[in-house]
Amino acid sequence: MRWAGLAVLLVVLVLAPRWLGRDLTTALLFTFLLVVLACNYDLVGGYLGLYNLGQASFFGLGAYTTFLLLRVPGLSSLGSGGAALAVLAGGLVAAGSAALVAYPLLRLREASFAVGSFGLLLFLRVLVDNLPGVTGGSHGLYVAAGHYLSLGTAYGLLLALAAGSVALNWLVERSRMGLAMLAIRESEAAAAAVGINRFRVQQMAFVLGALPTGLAGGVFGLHTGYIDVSVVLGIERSLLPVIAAMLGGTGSLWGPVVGSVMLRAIDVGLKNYLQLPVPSPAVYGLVLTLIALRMPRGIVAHLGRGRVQGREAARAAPVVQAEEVS
Amino acid sequence: MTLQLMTELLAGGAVLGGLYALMAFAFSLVLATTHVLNVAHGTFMVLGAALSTLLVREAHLPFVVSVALVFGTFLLAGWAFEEGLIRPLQGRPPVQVLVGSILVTFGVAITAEALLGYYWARAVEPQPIFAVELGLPSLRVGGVAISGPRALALVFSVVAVAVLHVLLTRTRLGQQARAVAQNRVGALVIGIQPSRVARTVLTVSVAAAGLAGTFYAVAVPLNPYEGLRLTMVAFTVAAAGGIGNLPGALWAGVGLGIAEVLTGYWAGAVWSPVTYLLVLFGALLARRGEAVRGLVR
Amino acid sequence: MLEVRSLEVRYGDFVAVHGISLAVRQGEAVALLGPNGAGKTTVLRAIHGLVPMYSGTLSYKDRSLVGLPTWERVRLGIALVPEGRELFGGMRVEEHLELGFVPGRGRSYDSLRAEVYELFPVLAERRRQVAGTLSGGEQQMLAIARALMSAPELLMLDEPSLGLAPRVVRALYEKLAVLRRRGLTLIVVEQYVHEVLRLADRAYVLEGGRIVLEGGAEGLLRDPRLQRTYLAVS
Repeated sequence: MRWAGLAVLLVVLVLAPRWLGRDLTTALLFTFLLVVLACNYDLVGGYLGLYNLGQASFFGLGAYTTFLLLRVPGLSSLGSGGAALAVLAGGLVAAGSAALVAYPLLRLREASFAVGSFGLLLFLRVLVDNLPGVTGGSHGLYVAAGHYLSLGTAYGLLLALAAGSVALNWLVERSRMGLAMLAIRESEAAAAAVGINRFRVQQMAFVLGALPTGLAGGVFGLHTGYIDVSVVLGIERSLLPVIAAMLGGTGSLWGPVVGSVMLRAIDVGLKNYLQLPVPSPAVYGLVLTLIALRMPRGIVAHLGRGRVQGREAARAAPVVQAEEVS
Repeated sequence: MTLQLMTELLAGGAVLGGLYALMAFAFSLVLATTHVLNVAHGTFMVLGAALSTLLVREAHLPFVVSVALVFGTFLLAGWAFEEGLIRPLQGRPPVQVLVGSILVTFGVAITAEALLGYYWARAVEPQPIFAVELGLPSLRVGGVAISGPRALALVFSVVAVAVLHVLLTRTRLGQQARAVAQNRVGALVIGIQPSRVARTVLTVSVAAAGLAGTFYAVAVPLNPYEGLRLTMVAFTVAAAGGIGNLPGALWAGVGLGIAEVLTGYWAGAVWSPVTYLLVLFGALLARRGEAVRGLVR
Repeated sequence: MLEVRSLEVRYGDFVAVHGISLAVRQGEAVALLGPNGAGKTTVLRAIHGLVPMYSGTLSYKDRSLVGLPTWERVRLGIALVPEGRELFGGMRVEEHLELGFVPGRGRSYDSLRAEVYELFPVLAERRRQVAGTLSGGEQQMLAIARALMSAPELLMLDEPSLGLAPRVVRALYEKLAVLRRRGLTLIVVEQYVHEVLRLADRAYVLEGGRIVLEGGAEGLLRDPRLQRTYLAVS
């Protein structure tokens, strides 16, 4: 029943561009993009409890790798095959970088980790800005006309990546690795005592969470045709996935998806229908503040308080003890 | 490099460093006493700079009056900020307070930044720049020229740090704040009210941020989107000096200011942010035991 | 003066204290004994408002304390010298006394400080020293002195002898005897049975979060069941 529902949803989404106009198709494409980043973020942020504020680093690395590789004449002349290779390479570079930055970053915890991961994003931004010879600096990079991805193609690819990201989280959740991640999040000491290699598990989650994000960076870049620091390494790009995951419910399969859809709906509604004179980041910020204050477990858990059961409830609600009555 | 140039660079670094130290001092005190990591600290500075620009440049008020107005406004804002957004987090376990405060204040920072940039661009000028121009003459000290505004900013940060120091050591609430920072359980046991301390510390730190922003804008112009960068600098200085270690914040702030100015001179201004990021990573990794985690017991 | 009825305290699902009742009269010294994990510290923390009560009643001078925050209990004249002392390592001795002082208790800071320094002359000598540099015994005296600065009527001490040499423990208990003669009501949690039973009028023995034995201090000293409680764990 559940599977049938998901299959129908997927088919509807695949066919949707036939009925929807350009604007709504684009809105859906942006939603898929956010789903990819939010699910990937949550693999580390939710299931491991490490708040990675620098998810956009992997997005930017994927996009820049793709664009730079397509400047190599040999690859460029391969046409769409070359573009596919470049996007794949972008994903791999993102995943490889994740494996590398895991060494310093995973020595940190809690606030230090959050700040450190955000610092990495800022570092990358400074590098890209200040190496105009390679990255185009503030002028950004354009892609040759032949490699431009049409809306339909980009839509399909990002839908696939979004579905893949959800599937990835689903698989990880059910694997031995998912169990190990949960154990580490609850108590590193206890996890170590039963022989779990904390670093390897966390590093793996990091890499898995960077790969689809990197691929999405390449696809998105080829669709827009232009990238610069604010497009692919934007601070908002890095924080929106966190906000989406928190809004929906972090550490649960559908939380990030629900959150992403809601955020995008708010954005589209504000811009296209209400036309309120409020910049969208202001709304995101407000949403973030309200969730953190009013429903720290996210909207899915908040609405279905009684219905969330078993493993999922245990994930969503870490045991809260009253600290002190003051 | 001539001696004069060197002196001027050091003076420039000291101005920046003094402001950094003040930022980090207030930021670190909040973190140590309340477990609140105030991501909006830099945003409050930017708002302070914006308000002073409005008062001095647009409303033509005397600088002294505008400083008093900024101080009063930010005391109120700090109180409201604590009451509405931080108070509800208290009572959660310390780690949850920390995480919750990061999210809440991140939201505040993003919202305030976006609204400020957007409406300032519409109502005041299309390219928002917050700068308080006072037309102060340069000072000549032993053959070295120091710009008047920078000297004023330096004097301000020295005075402000001194005032904060006196408040912390000579007043009962200040003493209680230090006690809470050093040992929360010990403070609770002897009847200190952590909620009262939290309110005072947050209010004072927001007011200090507003004033720091004012004097920052006297020395160096700011734009609406620099809040997060300033918070990162405050965090860097606090982490390098040791969270809750106030003399440490002072030295780290001045050191970072000078390092940034020297990097800017030798490698170009665009590279100066690299200095603080490198210091940040160094401090985080070197102090990972105590920097932030050690607070959360 | 203090009455605890059917006190139950839980940490999450773990029940640390199962329905304990005890009463302490004005001017009395009462010992809480028992092995590690018996719930003694939790009882003190609940009386001081540091952990929430799950159920039961708690009254002090015929007034319910339930729901009152710790700082209000301190103002009513209840003081706790916590386990592990919980001093402010980087602050001076004198600053601890300033922090411990609670206005509105009918005593001036100067007179309380003079009294504390008279009781612990070594602290007067070290008044400018930072707490972290004191010896273990001096730190324990400072923790007691800090609590006395709130002019308490009920003083609770959690394992004051912990980590101290026997000679220092004896000196410390002599000071507690002085406080008791001055009319202070005392509750002392201890594993060091003999010293505390010489000081106390009565004692309760806890095990597994329940009171298993209670009675006069002299009687308990000779009670074979007390010996067994301790031998069973050590």
